Amino acid sequence: MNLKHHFSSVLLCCISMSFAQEVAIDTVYIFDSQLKNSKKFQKISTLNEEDLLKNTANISDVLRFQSSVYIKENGRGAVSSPSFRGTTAQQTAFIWNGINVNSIFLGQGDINNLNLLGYDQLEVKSGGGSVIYGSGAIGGSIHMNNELAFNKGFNTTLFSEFGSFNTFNSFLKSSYSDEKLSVKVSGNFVKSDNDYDVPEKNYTNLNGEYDNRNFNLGAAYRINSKNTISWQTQIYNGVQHYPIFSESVTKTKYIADTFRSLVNWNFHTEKVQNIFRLAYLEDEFQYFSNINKAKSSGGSAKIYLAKNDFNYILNEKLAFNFIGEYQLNKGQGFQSGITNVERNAGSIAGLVRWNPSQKVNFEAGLKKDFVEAIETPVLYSFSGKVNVNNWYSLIFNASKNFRFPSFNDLYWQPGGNLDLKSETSLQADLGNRFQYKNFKLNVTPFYINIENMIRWLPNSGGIWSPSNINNVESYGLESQLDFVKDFGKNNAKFSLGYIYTNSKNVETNRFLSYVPKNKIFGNASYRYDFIEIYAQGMFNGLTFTSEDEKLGSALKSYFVMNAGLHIKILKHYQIGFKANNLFDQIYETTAYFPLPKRNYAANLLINF
Amino acid sequence: MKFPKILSSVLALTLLFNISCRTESDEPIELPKGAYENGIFVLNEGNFGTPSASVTFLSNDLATIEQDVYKKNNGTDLGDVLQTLTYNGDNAYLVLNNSNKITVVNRYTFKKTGEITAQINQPRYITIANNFIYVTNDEYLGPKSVTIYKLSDLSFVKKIAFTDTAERIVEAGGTIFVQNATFGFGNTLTRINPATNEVAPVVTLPNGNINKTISNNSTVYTIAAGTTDSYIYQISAAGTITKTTTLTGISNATNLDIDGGKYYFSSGNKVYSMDMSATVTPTTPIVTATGGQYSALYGFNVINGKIYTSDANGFTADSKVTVYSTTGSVIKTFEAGRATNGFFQN
Repeated sequence: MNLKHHFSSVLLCCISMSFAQEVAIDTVYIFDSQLKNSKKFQKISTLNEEDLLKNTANISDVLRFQSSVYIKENGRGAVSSPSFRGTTAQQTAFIWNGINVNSIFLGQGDINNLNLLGYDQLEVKSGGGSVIYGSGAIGGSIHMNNELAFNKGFNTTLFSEFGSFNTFNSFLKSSYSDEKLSVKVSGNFVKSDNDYDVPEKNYTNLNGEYDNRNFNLGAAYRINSKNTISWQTQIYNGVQHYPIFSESVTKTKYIADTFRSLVNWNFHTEKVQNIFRLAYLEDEFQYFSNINKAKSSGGSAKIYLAKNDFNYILNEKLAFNFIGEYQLNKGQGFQSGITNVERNAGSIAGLVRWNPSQKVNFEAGLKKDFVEAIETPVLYSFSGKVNVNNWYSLIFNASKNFRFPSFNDLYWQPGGNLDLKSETSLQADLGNRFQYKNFKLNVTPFYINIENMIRWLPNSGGIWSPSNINNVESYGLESQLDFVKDFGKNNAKFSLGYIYTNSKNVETNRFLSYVPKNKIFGNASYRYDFIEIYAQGMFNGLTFTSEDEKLGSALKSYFVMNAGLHIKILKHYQIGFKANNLFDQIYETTAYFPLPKRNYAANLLINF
Repeated sequence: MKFPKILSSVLALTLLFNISCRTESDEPIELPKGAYENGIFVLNEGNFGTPSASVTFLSNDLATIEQDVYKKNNGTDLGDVLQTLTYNGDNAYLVLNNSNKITVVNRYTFKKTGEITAQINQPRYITIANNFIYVTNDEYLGPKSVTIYKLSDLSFVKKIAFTDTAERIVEAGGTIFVQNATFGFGNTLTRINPATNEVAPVVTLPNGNINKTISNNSTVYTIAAGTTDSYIYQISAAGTITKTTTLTGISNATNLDIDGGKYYFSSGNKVYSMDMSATVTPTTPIVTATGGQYSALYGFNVINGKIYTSDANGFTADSKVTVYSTTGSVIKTFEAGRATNGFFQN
C-alpha cells in the first residue's frame, strides 16, 4: 500500500516536471488528466480507498474528517452540501472523471446522493477552477474518480461492513488487465435504518432510513502505442427518507436515479496529447411530500457532452493546451412548471504552461463560455510556482470564476427569473509549501470576492423567486501539516489541518450562515506489520445558522473523535473495527439535526 | 419540639383569617391566572421542515418581551410551522401545520393541556363554535377537509371533505365560514351549520379573489383582490353579502383587520385605513413598511389602536416586529422569532 503511495507521488513529480503524461497513462489511467496539472499549483487532497474505508458512512463523513470542507448535513445520510472557503454548495463543482455533474436543476450536488464506495478515489481541490471545470467551480471542486490499470492481471476485492443503526455497507470490485485491455466492474450497496437517538436533545432520527446502490463498469483498450480508448459507466439509484421531528409529521422521501457514461479517446505522441470525450448524463429525481402517495415533484435531466482537450508540448519548457466543449442540456420537470426546456452551452479555453527552469512554473488560462440566453464573463486564471529552495516553494493563484443560473433559477414556475446574470468571483491565494524530512506543511491564505450571487427570496406576491442580489467577500487561511514515516515493519502517518474563514455578506456586513470561522481536522495512523490503529479528530468552531449572527441559534463548537483498527488475519483477509464519536459529543452541522452519538462498525475486507 | 410548628400553623391561620376578613368588604381579589394574562402573543411560524416555531409574549404596555414561552414552560420545541391560534375559556389552541397537530395550552401559563392529532393533515386554521372545534386541513396536491372535534374532550367527531382549498375558517353569528381560496385564487366561502355540522349553501363573491376572511361582531368580512381594484365584502351570518366596499385603484389588497370602527388593510408594503362606513378609498397609506417586498408585512394585526407588523427578514433570520400608532408613528420595534405571522391579544 505504502509503496504504491510513494510510487505514485514519484510518478506525479515526473509528470509535473516534464509533461510526460504517457508514463502515467501506461500505469494507471485516471480520466481527469487536468487534475494532475492543477496539483502543481492548487491544494488538492487525494483520498484513496484506504482513506475512504475509514469513514464508510457516506462522503459527508469522509470530507468532514479528512478535508478542509464544511459539510452541512440534515442528519446522518440525509441532504448534505459542502462549503469551501466560505462559499455555498452551488459554488462547489462535483466532477466525475473530469466532467462537471452538478444538477442542471439545482446547480449543486447532494453529497449523500453519491455512493461513497462507487469511486476509487476522491480528490478535494480548494480554489477556483472554472477555466477547466466550468460553472460552479468557485470555492472548490470535489473530484470523484474511477481508475483503470494496465498489466495488473486479475484482482477482486470484497468489502462488507455492518454498523450501528442497522447499517450495511459493501462493495465488490473486480478487475482484469493486461498490456492492451483493462476492465473493471464494481457494485456497491448501502443501507441503513439510521434510527439513532440523541436523548439529550430529545431527538430521534425518525424516518431517516436510506439505501442506495451503484454499479460501475470501466474499460480501456490500448489500440496501439498512440491511441487508447476508454469507457466509464455508472448507474446509481438512491432512496433517501427525510428525517421528521415527531411521529405526527408527514413522512417524505426522495428518489434519485443517475446514469452516466463517458467515452475517452486518448491520442498521444511525444509532442501532442489529445483527449476527446463524449458523455451522456442522465439524472432523475422524484420527491414525495407524502411517502404513501404519488410523487409531488421531480424532474429529469439529460446532458449530451462533447469535449476535446488538446495539449501541444513544444519543448520541455513550453506547452499549450486548448479545451473546447459543447453540451446540450435538456430538462423536464414534474409539478415545477418546467416543461421540456433545452439549453445549448459551449466553451473554449486556452492554457499556456511555461516552465522556464526546474524551479519555476507558470500557467495561464483564458476561457469564454457561450450559454444560450445567458451572459457569461470571460474567465481567466494565472498560477505561478517558485521552488525557492529544497524545502520551500511559493505558489500564487489568481482567477475569475463563475456559475450560470440553473434550470430551477430560470424556469421554476412560479418564481423563475429569466433575467438572471451569472454569479462571478475573483479570487487569489498564496500557497506556501514547506518540506522538512518527513514533514510537509502547506499554508495558503486566500481571498474571494463573489458578485451577483443568486438568492431565492419571496417577492411581493409571496412567491419565492431568485435574483442577483448578494455580494460576498471571503478571506482566510487553509493550512495542513503532514507527516509520514516508515521504519522497519512500522509505518506512522499523521496529518493536521486548520482552516480559518471569514466570509461576509458585503451589504449587511454579517457573517454568512453555515460557515464556521474555525475548523481543525486531524488524522493519525500507526501500523505495525499486520495491525493498524487510527484516530480521527475534528473540531468545528461556532457556526451561525441565521443571517443575523444570532448567537442563540448558532451551532456551538464541537470536537468529535473516531478511532479504529484493522488486522490482517490471513494473507488476503483483513478485519476492522471502528468506533465513531468516541466521546459521545452532541453536535449538529445543520440546526435541529443532531448527528449520532457513539456508534460502532465492524468490517471485513478480502483481496483475491 | 413540636411547639414551633404548631405556632407557625396558628400564625398562618391567623394571617389567613385576617386576609379573608380584610377582603370581605371589598370585591374578591382576583388571583393572577398566570404570567401571560395581560398581553399579546406573537406567533412565529418557524422555518418549514424544522421544529422552529415559537411564541413570543409581549406585555400590554409593550415593555416586557419574553421569547419562546412554549419551550420555556414545557421544555420541548413547539413544532413545525405555527399557523394560528384561537382561544376558548382558559385554553389557547395552537395550529401546527407541518407537525400535523393542534396543541392546546393554558392561555395564562402556556402549559400544555392537550393535543389533537386524529385526522389532522396539514392544518391551516381553526375556529370554535357550539362546543365544537373546526379545523381546516389542506395537503399540497392532496386532500382538503374540515375536521370537527368535541371541545370537551378533543375527540374526533366528523370530517367534511372539500374539493377546493380549505383555508381560513371563522365563526360569525352561529355559522362557520370556510374560505375556499388561497394565495389569491378562489372566490367562494362555504358555510357549515354548527348545530348539525352539515354544509350550508356556498357564498360566491362577484369580484376579486379572496385573500383574507375575518369575523367581527357576528359578521364576516373578506378582502378580495382584483387586477386594478380590490374589495371588502361584509357578509351576514345567513350568507348574504350585505355591503361591498370597492377599494378603487388598489390592486392586490391582502391583509384585513378591523379595530375601532375602521378597516385596516394592506397592499404590497403599504397599510391603509378607512372608516367602515366610508365609501371613498384612501389614497395615502398610513404606513409604508421597508424591507423585503413580501416579508416586510408578513404578520399584520391591529389591536386596541395599535398596528402590529412583522418583517420576516426573508425567513433567514429572526423577524423584526414594528408597532405603529394608527397614524403611522413607530411606537416600538423588537425582535421576535423566525417568520412572525400574527399577533393575538390575550
